[in-house]
Amino acid sequence: MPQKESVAASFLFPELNRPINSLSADDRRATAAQIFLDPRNGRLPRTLVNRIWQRLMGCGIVENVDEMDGEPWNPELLDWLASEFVSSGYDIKALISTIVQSRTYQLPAVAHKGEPDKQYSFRGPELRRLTAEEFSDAVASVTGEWHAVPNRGGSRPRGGPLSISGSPVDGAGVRPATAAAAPARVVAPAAPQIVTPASIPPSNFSRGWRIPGSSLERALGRPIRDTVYSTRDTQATTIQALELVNGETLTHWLWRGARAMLGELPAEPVSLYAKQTTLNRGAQAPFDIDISKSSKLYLIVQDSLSTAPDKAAPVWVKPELIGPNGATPLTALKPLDTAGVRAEAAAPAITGITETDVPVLRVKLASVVVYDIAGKGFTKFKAAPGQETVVLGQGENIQARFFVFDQKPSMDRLVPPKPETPIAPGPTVKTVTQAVDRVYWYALGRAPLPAERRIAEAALRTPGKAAKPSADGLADLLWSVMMTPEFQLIR
Amino acid sequence: MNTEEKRISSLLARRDFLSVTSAGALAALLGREPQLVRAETKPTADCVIVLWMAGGMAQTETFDPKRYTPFEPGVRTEKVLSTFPAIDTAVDNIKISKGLERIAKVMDRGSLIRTYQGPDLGFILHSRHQFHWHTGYVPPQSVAVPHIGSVIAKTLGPKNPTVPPFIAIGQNMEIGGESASIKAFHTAGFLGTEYAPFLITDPQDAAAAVRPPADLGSTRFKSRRKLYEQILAKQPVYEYGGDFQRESLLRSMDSADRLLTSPSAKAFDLSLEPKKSYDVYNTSRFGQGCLLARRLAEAGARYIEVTTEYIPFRYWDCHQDGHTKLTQMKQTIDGPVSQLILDLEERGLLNRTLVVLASEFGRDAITEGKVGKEVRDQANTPDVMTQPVHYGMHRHFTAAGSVLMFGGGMKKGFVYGKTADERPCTTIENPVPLEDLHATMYNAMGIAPSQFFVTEKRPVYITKDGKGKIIRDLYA
Repeated sequence: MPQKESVAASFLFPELNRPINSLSADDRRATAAQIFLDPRNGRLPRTLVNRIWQRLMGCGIVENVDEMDGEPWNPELLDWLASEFVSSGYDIKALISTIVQSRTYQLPAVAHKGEPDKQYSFRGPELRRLTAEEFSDAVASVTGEWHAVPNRGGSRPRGGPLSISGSPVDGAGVRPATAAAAPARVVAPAAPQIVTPASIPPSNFSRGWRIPGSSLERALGRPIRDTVYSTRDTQATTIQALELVNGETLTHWLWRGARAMLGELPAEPVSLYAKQTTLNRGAQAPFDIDISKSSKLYLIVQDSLSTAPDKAAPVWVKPELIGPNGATPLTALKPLDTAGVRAEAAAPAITGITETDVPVLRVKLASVVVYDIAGKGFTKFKAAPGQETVVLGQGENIQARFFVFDQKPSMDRLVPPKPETPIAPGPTVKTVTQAVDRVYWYALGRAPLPAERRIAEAALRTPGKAAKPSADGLADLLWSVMMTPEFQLIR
Repeated sequence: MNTEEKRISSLLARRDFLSVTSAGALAALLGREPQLVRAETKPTADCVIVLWMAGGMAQTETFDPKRYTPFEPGVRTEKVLSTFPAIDTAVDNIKISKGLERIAKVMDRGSLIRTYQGPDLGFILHSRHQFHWHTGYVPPQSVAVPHIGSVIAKTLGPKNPTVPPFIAIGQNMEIGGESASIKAFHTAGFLGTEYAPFLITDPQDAAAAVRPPADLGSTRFKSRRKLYEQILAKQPVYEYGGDFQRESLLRSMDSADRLLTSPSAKAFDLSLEPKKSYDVYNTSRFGQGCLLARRLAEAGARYIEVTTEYIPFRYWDCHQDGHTKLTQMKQTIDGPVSQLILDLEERGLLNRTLVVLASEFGRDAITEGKVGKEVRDQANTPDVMTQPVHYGMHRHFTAAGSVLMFGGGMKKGFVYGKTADERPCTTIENPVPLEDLHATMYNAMGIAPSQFFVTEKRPVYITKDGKGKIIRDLYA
């Protein structure tokens, strides 16, 4: 738009203008707020009410919601809702409650047939598509498999230059007594409490909107937070469908989801040690953990949003196994798989450590290194996270998470979430019939028709195991049902 | 009027509210359809490849070399204009910087603009300038403005229906503090997700994007599709059957399926490239991205962008040790960029493919921002260079930057714009603001710079105020 001259600050509608005390941002903001809330200005409540109506009903009383100077199809309704909204003290919850409890909202949905025009007459809520977050929540509530939002609460410990010897043990996880004995459990470990090191607090299962958008949600139209979107595009697109058909996010989710429903998710062991740290800030505190009952050790390093991941050269510093005959350096043992190990180098310098010739295990930034220690009588494992000294530029850092497990970890749940889910999962599904009923009732809110049942049951049956549903079959059934318009469109 | 009505009327003054006149002239322009304005000249390109030098490519170290001053402790920073000597190119009067020998050999295939001028946005933040470059608008905007790739995809549609029209290669979206601003322009904005970029962060993973997920395997992928069709067929038909949302949902599933099973999907798979060719491109992820771009251009993508990737203080964004870092960056781009031009030429595609190599701004060792309007420095540059880390162009310079344009109807072996030979090496002839660069690119694609979209009842032009000037001199 052409820019010619500057004008004095004023509101779009001159009759509502108020004098501004000063041009400071605070004063201008305060004046704007007064204008918006001016009882002579009916725009704010009408605009808000109209938007919420549009969200719930699919079509605004004024459509389009960005252009409130358009003609409402029912001015009295808009006025009434707006005035109720103002008298309630702008209570959005009350407004939603009013709308959804109305018979209007509860009418059967009708199909949207292009832009409403002057002849628009209300026949019922518009048929609309699940939003990205609704889709995520629906998948989670059908399968009982929720995503967890990392708990970043609290300040991250800042590492300073520490001396390796004599510093306090930090970050050792206390394993709950019941965890080892706990059966393979579904979404949440059955342990009554999970004590994890303070540096990685447990994550929380949450509804979709709390969790940063995945590529799946972005494809389904979830906008980016700091760009202005006043309405969402809900049209189905090829990119979207590609994500649904092909994306790792949904595929993996349903892989887990199906197993969660059947109680077949692999156990989720708790780490013996877990630590999130910025490696380039200095030496890391060592840990000393009990491994007297362990037969294997899984040493895991993961990137945690480093800005210079390619400069990461993580190491496990002075890794030692303590046994009846004293200390054995970990490097004396051969790992089961060397893929995560970097080649040995002569005496690398370690960030924050002035000693030379410190024995280290050099690993890759993302690595899982496994040692078999069965029958060797080791009781303790001592080491510290570390990073080889590299030159980092301004703004570059290396952040990583270090874990030690003694059972094969579930890579999706290295940090165990708290067990509570937004909606309690249904009981474990045991038979093919139960599984089909669960999918249809939970996903579509109805029983399968006989023809649907036949197809669905056939997909779940594994030859020779009549009653027990196949997990892959269940994942495929979930996917197939979730791809249908009946699931994705809200009636 | 009953009591209730009175209350409403006094409280809200509805009459006033409704009497506000609507913007009459624009009211007719509801909807998001582009107001197509055809270019006056015939299109000279039907595909664009943008090679994005993210982070501010120092022009005096690449395509606009000035007097070379070798490093020695004690050299005054103000004396250093280029840290590399200039080299000859295939074109007599064009010299570029050492380290770009292979690009030098293909300079007779394209045009070189030396006077791109970034906008004056005050304190310099790369992602804001990148947002501006890719959308034509300075952030933040009150409407979600689309990426140039989305504009082209929306206006021209896909070239091949089984290949996504807009593919963006190489940018990781989680880069720390500036992530949100990077995401903010990788979007189709108000044009809708249909025209959003198909993002491929790592070219090595591209094949996976169009291949059944690893968890699934191709046999199950097919059987699952069959199950879906059966379930769909047996679902009760509701009263809304035939409705367009339902149709579009099913159609989108079909077109995804078509892409996944079409021969075009092979274009995504770099492992199908002969090793000899692959090796030329394999300098880095950017290099692999150039190869992927070539394969996708062959398959019929409309707009492809390959970035060296923006991460604050990495790659082209050097605030110290610039000479060393740029030596590496030049190794990264020299082979792949030149090979891309040669490959497109050999396949007869260069004539109709416009390849644009650009960056958000240039760099200088002294001046931060615009000449005469300098802003707060972001690099500590000593007056005298004592260590090699001081040697380089560590400040952001928006008064001149280089852009390469190959193919797509552009002149061959041509230089446009002139910069001063002494500091500040600013534009002295033919400045090229972004809207003119975009106008030239759009026009080559047959889109007039005055085209606009209407959103929220106002026109959003694809170039600033619809007035981007086509640089006719650049056309062959």
